[in-house]
Amino acid sequence: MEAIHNTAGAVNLKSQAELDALHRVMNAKAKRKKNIRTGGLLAANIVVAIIILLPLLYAVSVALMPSSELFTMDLNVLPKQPTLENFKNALENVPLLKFVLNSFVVAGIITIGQIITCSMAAFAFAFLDFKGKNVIFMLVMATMMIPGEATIISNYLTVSSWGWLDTYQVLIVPYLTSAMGIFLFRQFYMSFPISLYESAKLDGCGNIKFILKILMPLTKSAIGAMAVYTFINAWNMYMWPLLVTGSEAKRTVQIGISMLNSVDAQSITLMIAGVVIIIVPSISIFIVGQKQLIKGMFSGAVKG
Amino acid sequence: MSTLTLRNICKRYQNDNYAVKDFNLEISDQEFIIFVGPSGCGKSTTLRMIAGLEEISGGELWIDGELSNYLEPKERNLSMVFQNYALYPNMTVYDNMAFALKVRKMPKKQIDEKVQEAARILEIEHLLERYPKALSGGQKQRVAIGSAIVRNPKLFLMDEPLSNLDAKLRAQMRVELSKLHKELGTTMIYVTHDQTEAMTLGTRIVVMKAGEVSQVDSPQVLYQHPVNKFVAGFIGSPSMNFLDVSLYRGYDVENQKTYLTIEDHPVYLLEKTARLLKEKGYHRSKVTFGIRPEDIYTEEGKEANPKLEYSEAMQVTIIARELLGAEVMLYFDLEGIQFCARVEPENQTRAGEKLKVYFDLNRIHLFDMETEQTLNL
Repeated sequence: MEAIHNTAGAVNLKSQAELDALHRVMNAKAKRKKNIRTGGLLAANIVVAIIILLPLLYAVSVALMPSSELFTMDLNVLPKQPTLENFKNALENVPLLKFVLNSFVVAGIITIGQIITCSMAAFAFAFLDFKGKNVIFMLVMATMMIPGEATIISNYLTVSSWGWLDTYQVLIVPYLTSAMGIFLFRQFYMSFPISLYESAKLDGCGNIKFILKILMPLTKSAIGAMAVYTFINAWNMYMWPLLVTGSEAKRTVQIGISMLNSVDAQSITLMIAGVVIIIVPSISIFIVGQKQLIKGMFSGAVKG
Repeated sequence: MSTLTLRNICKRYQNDNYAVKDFNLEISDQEFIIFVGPSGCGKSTTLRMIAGLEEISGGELWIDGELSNYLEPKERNLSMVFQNYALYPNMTVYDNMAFALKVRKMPKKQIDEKVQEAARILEIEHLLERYPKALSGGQKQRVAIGSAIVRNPKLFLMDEPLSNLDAKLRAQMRVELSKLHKELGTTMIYVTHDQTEAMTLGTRIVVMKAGEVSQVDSPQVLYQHPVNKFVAGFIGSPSMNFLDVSLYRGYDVENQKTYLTIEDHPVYLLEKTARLLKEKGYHRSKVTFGIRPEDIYTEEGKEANPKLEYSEAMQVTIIARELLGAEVMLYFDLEGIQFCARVEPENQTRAGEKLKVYFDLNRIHLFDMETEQTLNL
C-alpha cells in the first residue's frame, strides 16, 4: 500500500509540460515502431505479389512486343517498341469477340442455374427431413469423386444421340448443377439457425418464400462466392466444349484461343495477345467478387 | 378464447424410444401453463408437437375442439418465442414484427396499426427502425415477443425465452411476462428448466421427468404436496433434504406413536401421518424422509412460531454457513447426508459449532423407497 502511494506521488510531481513532452516522445516511438512494421509487411507483400504475378505480367509484356523482338538471344523483359499490332491481328484472325460473347452466355447461364439448383438442393439437405436424406447426400458427394474425363465419352454419346452437338444447350445443360455447389451451400445452411426456419414456418411462410425472403438475403456471401467460383470454372472449361462444338458460331474462348495456334503460322506473340484478351473478364470478375469469394469460402467453415 | 386438450400424446423415435409418453393435459382459456423439468425430459418436444414443428407419433391434439394433429404449423395459428429469439437479421424490427402479417396478406394499414400497438405494449416504439444486430438481449427478446403478439394467436408458446438473458434482466422480464399475460389474456405455454420461473409465472405447472408427466398442479400445491420424490426435489431452491430412515412403532401401550429414527434420535410422527402410513401398510419399514430447508427451525425460530408442531430437538454440528442477506443457510450432516436449513439472519452460528434443530412435523414428507411416491398425502 505504501509503495503504491509513493509511486503515485512521483507521477503527480511531474508538471504538465513534462508530461506533455513524455507523451510526445512515447507516441513518436510507438508510431515509428508501427511504421516499420507496416513498411516491412508491405515490402514482403510486394515481393510475393511480383513473384506470383510475374508470368502474367510477362505475358502482357510479350503481347505488346513485335514478334521479331521475342526471338532474339537477349533477354527481353519489357518491349522496346510496344505495339498493339498483336491484339489487332488476334481479333482479325479469329472471331475472338464472338467467342468471348459465347463464353459469357454459357458461363453466365451456368452460374445462375447452379445458384438456383444448388441452393434449393442444399436447402432440402439442410432443413427438410425425409427418408434416405443421408444416402442421397452421400450419392451426390460421391459424384465428386468421379473424374470428369471418365464420363466424358458416354456423355458425348448421349448428347450426340439427342442431336444436341454444336448448340448452346449442350454447353450449358450438363453443368446446370454441381455437387460442389450443393456441398458449399449445405455447409453454409447448416450453420444457419434452424429456429429462424421454424419461426418462419409458424409465421405462415412457405419453403420457397423462406428461401427467397430470408435464406438468400442472409447468405449473400455464400452466393457471391459460389457465383465467382462457378463463373471462373465455366469460363475456363476446355475439354467438353472442344468435344461438342464444331462451328465457330458456338465455340468458347478457350477453344478459340487454340485456333490462333496453327501449324502454318505460329506466332507466340499473337497467341499471348489472345490469351491476355480472354483472361481480362475472368480477372475482373475475380477482382469484383474476391471479397465475397473469400468471405463465403471461409465463413461457413469456421462458424460452428 | 382457446382451449387445448392433449390426450395420450406420444413422441416415439426408432426402436420404441419414447421422448414423450402418454402426455395428458387439459388447458383452459387464459391459463399460463409451465412445462418444467430437467433437460431431456421432453418438455420442449411436447411444445414443438403442439406448434406442429414435430410430428405427433401417437395420441390426439385438440385445439379449440378441433383435432389438430395433422394441421400445418401455420394453420394452427399459434405463435412461438424461441430461446435464441429467431429474429430475421435482414429485416428491421418493424419488418420482423410485420412479417407474419405480410405473409398472410393483411392490408398495410392494418399491419401498421397492429405493429404500433404491440410496440407500445412492449415499449419498443423507438427501436422499430433498427436491425436486430443493434439490439441488446433484452430488446431482442421484446421484439421476439412483439412478433408473436401482433398476430393475435390462439396460443403463445415460449421455449425457454429468458435463458439467454442475464440474471437481473431475467427477473425483470419475468415480471413483465406475467403482466403481459394479464394484459393480453391469451393462453400461454411456457417451457423452462428454471423452477423459479415456473413458480413465479405459472397458474399451473406441469413437472416432467423422462418423457412422462410427474405432476400437474398450481405452484403452491406442487410445492407443499409433491406427489413424488422427484417433484419434491425439483421444485424449491435449495432443494428438499432427503434421508433414508426406518419407521418404528412404539411398543409400550402409553407411547404407541409411530416414529422414525435419525442418528438414533426418534422423530415421532403426527397421529394423522401415522394413520396414513398404517393405511398404506407402511410400518416398520424403510422409507425416504424429506424436509425443506425452511421447515427446519432453530431454538429462536421455534419460539417465534409457537403454533407449529415440532419434533424433538436434534443436536447437529454446522459444517458451513452461507449468508444470503435476508436469510442464512446452515449446512450440517445427518447420517452422512448433507442437510441444509434456512434460518433467520440473526443466527450467528459458525461452522464447527453445535446447534439444536427442530423439524416442522406438518411439513415432513415421506416417500416409498422404491416407487418414490409420496406416502403422507
